[in-house]
Amino acid sequence: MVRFENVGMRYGMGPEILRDVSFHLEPGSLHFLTGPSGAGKTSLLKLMFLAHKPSRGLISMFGHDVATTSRAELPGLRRRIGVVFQEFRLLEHLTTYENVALPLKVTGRNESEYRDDVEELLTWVGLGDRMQARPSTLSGGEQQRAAIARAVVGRPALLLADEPTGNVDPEMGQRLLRLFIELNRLGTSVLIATHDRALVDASHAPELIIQNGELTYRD
Amino acid sequence: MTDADTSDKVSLSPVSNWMALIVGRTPRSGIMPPADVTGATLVLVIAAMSYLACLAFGAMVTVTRSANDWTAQLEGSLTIQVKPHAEIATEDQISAALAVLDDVEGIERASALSEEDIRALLDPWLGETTESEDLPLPSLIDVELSPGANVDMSRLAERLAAAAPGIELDTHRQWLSELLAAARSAVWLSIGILTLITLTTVAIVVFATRASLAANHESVEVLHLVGAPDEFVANEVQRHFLQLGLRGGASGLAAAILTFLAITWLGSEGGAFLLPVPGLMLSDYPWLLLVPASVALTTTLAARMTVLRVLGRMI
Repeated sequence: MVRFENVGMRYGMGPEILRDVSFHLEPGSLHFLTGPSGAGKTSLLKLMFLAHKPSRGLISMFGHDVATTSRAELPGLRRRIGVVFQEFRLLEHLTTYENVALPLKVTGRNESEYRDDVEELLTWVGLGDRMQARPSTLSGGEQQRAAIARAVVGRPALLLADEPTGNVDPEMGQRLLRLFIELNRLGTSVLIATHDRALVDASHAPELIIQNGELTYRD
Repeated sequence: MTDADTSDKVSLSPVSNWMALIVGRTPRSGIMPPADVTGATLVLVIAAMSYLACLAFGAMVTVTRSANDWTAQLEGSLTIQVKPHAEIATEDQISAALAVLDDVEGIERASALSEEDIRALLDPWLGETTESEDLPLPSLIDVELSPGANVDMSRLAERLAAAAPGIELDTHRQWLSELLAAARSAVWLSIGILTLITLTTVAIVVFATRASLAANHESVEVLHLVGAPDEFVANEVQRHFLQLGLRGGASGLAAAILTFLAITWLGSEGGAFLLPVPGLMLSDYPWLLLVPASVALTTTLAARMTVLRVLGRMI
């Protein structure tokens, strides 16, 4: 599903942030991406959700070599990837419902086709009574759940979560972890970037450890 | 009261209300953020451009129609000037000229103007004064040509000059050609002004679109990352600019119509800044709709092309 071979990445003419990164994610797998702050976790995720191009190496997403994939094909690949951003990135001028429905709206589908699904999902993550609220009026936990709902509403094949428990208390962190595990059981491949050891230890999932731009694997 | 209720409440100052009215701010106008004060400024700029374009377009229509009218009126007529001469009586000069004209094929009618008619022609220039009675005025013969007549004017001028001294043929052609040349210059000037307005509008919209994309970079990037194709983002942005273009274009058109009506009214009052043109006719006004339509189309296309170019630079 996701294959990295000797991938290197740098911003502009700066030093290499990632060096010779190689790994493979199978369909339906659950992994953690760990490492100290500034080690390159977010940079690696940027490569995976196609927000950045590698400076060298091969990246294959769903069987497509990213380097040779045309711009016109990229939106189709991105729709197969759900992303939970560290800072949520909910659009402030839209309601919670509109934010969560965004990945479906951009496909050009009629709202009547997905309204029930979105409302059901929002109810499932506990935001059924907050659908018309703006993100700024939501608590940190509510924003986190709205961001997760947006990431999974399109039933992506791959879910990438960047520090999904960074802004919530430990109890909420555990609830979110159970949500990710549930999604994984339903067939979605999940990669969670975190430095929350409690979260990693609680799941017993394999770890990708990134340190000084280099990746190691711990089963 | 829930947070949702409070979040939907917007407290606007009177100025903001006015701006919101112009730009048609609505909470859910689309995925891109609603128009702000920058949008209102852009509407005002587009309205000014549309107003100037309407004036230039209206001037072009009026001058073209006036030139056609002058040509139609003057091409079928001639004037023969009979200057007083010491050796021959004016009546004899007129008789000799009419005899020549009677002999020329293609002349429908030829008649000498009475002294009252000639003085009536001078009244607009000299006023209704008895002093003009002492002036030695030439007599005039008004000649109407048959439709499609092909009269050899230089030959006719020679025959009239030979018939009696003091007779001159005025074909109006020199005056008409100068007038038409001036009209053509005015039309080209209008086209030049319209071209400049179009280019300026495009430049302003490109700048505004870039500024809008920069200001809404977060929204564009999130749309991009949730899988929105460039076309989707371009459609969202161009719809926003189409609304601005239509509002600005319509405002400019309304102001231009008021201006043309004022010019027509001033013209009918005899005080139109010495303008020889009668203003727009009722049948000309629908053509002005082309201006806001073109402005809106130009605005939309410029915004769309700018968005696609900017997005093309993103991965």
